[in-house]
Amino acid sequence: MAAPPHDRALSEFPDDLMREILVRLPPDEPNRLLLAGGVCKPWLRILCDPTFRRYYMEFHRTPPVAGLLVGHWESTTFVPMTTLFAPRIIDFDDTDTLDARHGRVLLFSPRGLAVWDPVLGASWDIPSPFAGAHFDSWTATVLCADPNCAHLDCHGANFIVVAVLGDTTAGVTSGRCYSPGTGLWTDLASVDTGVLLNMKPAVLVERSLFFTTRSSMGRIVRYDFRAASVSLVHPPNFQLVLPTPSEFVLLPAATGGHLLLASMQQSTLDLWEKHVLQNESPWVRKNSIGIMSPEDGLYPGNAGPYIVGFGEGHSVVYFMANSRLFSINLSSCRVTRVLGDPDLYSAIPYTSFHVTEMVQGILAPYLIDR
Amino acid sequence: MASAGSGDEKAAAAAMITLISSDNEKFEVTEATATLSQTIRHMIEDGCTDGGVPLPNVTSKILARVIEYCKKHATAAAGEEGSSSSFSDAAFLEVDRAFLEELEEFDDAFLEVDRATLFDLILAANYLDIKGLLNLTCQKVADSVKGKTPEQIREMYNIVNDLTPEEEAEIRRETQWAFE
Repeated sequence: MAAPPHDRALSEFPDDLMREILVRLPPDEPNRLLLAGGVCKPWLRILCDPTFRRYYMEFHRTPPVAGLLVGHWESTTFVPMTTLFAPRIIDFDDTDTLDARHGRVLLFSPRGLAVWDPVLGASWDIPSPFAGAHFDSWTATVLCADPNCAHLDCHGANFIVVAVLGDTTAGVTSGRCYSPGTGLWTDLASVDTGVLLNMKPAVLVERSLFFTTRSSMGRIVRYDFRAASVSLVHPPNFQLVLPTPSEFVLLPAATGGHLLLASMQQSTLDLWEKHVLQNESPWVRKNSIGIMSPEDGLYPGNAGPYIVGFGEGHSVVYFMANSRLFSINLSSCRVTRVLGDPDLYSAIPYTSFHVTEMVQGILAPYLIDR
Repeated sequence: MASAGSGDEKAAAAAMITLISSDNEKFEVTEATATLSQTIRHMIEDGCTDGGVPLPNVTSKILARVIEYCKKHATAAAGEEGSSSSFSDAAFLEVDRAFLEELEEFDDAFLEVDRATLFDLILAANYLDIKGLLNLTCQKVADSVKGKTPEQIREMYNIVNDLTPEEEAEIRRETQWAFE
């Protein structure tokens, strides 16, 4: 007797097609991957396959936020965003986080600069970038040393640290670059204007780093790897559109090769965009996003809000309001409550695909009999 | 574009492809629509589409839906090519945005199908190698397991639990926190 006609079932899908579905489980919710592993053996087998992790990373490209480096007055806390990721914390006393990128974190304390890799649990002491320098403000950032790397899973000592030093007395802003390979700081061409640098994370767009400053002129410092030079970029003319000039953060824009500037005014986030490869290109005013969402307890007139950080790869701005940390996704305009922490003054996301490795580590033992 | 009897129309008429479903129904589509499928594109390139393209794995019901998707997205692809040179023009960006929103609405409405149809669409998209449709349909299934326990996922998709009770208990213990 012929089998009765039946509806197609997911279990009839070949493995490669089932993999196409499982690869689309979102990286920022690793528990979904974990739960999928407990559904049946074929799913468990697909998820634990050694090629799955690479396939998953290449599909999503942007690593999820594994934790937040939360800055308090002279101390840093690592707040994991998933229970799957709890790195061994190194000594954070008197420590500030300057930046985090490409799997590494740059820390600064009275003991000096250090690069920390939370996944490997390793750290590297960085010699002082100030030797022979005259300056009255500075900041620094860390990034993977390989310009051809996709930064899906980079770790270890193949990084560089870039420091920018501003000297308003002599009217000079200069850049220095450190590589653990040589163990030396190399000077880069400087620019004949002194600026007051913010000790806040930089943004990397098209092989250029952009640093914000506290200068009255509101200049942005650009460190260009291609030209090996330091130059200044003018932000948009705020006075024309905003009642009071306020602090802003820079992010990579959704359009490739563009820099996005976000400034928070009371209950809105105003956005500007600029092409970075054409230095003379103007800032273009983009949309304004209303950040007040009553379901989160946010109303106009609430304390704050003010920006405390951003996610370089995620188009996310972190802001404080009502003594709580919120994030706003610039593409979806969705506001999410992240932490209740009244003393927080900076939030720097640490992004990593490491959680998928953890998922595989947990699930793999159940595959032994296959 | 609208000039009657232009060469465009003749060229378009010449570039029609006949697709034949598993239940022998014939569908006439433009080459632009058909070539969203990499499988059909390769057949056209190899010159083996005369007399129609038999698709023994796709029923007429599913093929009609697939063609509906391809028609819409072929128009979108043509529109994108036309405006890409003037991307900096705000007016064009506005048009693009409106079109993308319309396309998104189309995709959302397109996915309003029962589970069996969704699975058939995935299998057809895979067989015909239509990247956009495969992405859309697979994402729909991936999104559907949000907030579900393994038992609920099994129940939802009639999946046989082939884990031993011991394995299941252990995985559950390891992943207990994920249920919270």
